[in-house]
Amino acid sequence: MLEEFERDIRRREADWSYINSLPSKLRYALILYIEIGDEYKASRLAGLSIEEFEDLRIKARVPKVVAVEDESK
Amino acid sequence: MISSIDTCFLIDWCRYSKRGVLEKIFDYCFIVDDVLREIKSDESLAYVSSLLSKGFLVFYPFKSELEPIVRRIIDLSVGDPRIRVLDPPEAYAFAIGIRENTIVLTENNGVLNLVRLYSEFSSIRVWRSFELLREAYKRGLINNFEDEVKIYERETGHRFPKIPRG
Repeated sequence: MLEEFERDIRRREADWSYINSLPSKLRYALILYIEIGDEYKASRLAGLSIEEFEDLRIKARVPKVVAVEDESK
Repeated sequence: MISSIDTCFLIDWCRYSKRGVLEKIFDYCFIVDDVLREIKSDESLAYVSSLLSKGFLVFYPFKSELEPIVRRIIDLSVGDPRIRVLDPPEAYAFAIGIRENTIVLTENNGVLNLVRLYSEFSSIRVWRSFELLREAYKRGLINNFEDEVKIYERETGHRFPKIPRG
């Protein structure tokens, strides 16, 4: 499943020690993002604008994963 | 060419050092007004403000007329477990794409799956940043596609892994 593939990368690359040091609202928002890859929903949960949430996501080293077709094959 | 931009896409694009290629690819881009509520940093505000002043970003003037389309696509996404439920930013960008035949700039998997799984939407062109960078490369606006993808990944916190086979 493509969504699982993308989720695994987000989980693997995330800075969990940083995420776990955050207040609950921000921590759970990042966990939601890691699980579903949806920054709009995650930003609403965090109480942040989308841009503020994107800053947080980048600080927490959670990548925005966009799987693409391998055209070399 | 005309595009409609999902708010989340535009916010990421603001971080890219060669973001000016957007204006070289499209004649103008439709947005909806909630984009302004989502942008806070000086740099992004300056970029969006400059695009508005040039008339490159255009507030879609018939937003209320999109509501039946938005309702239809949100209903579909709620009722189909294969599609993640759409939220307003991507739903409006997609609805503009349907109504105006624009290229929809979004990275939302729900939109991508709607296009992939529903024939009524199969003609809608959806580009992610990856396809936008590829178009920039085809037009000679960037020199090395692979290097530029790496720069975009670094500057915006993206990853573009290849889909595993099988």
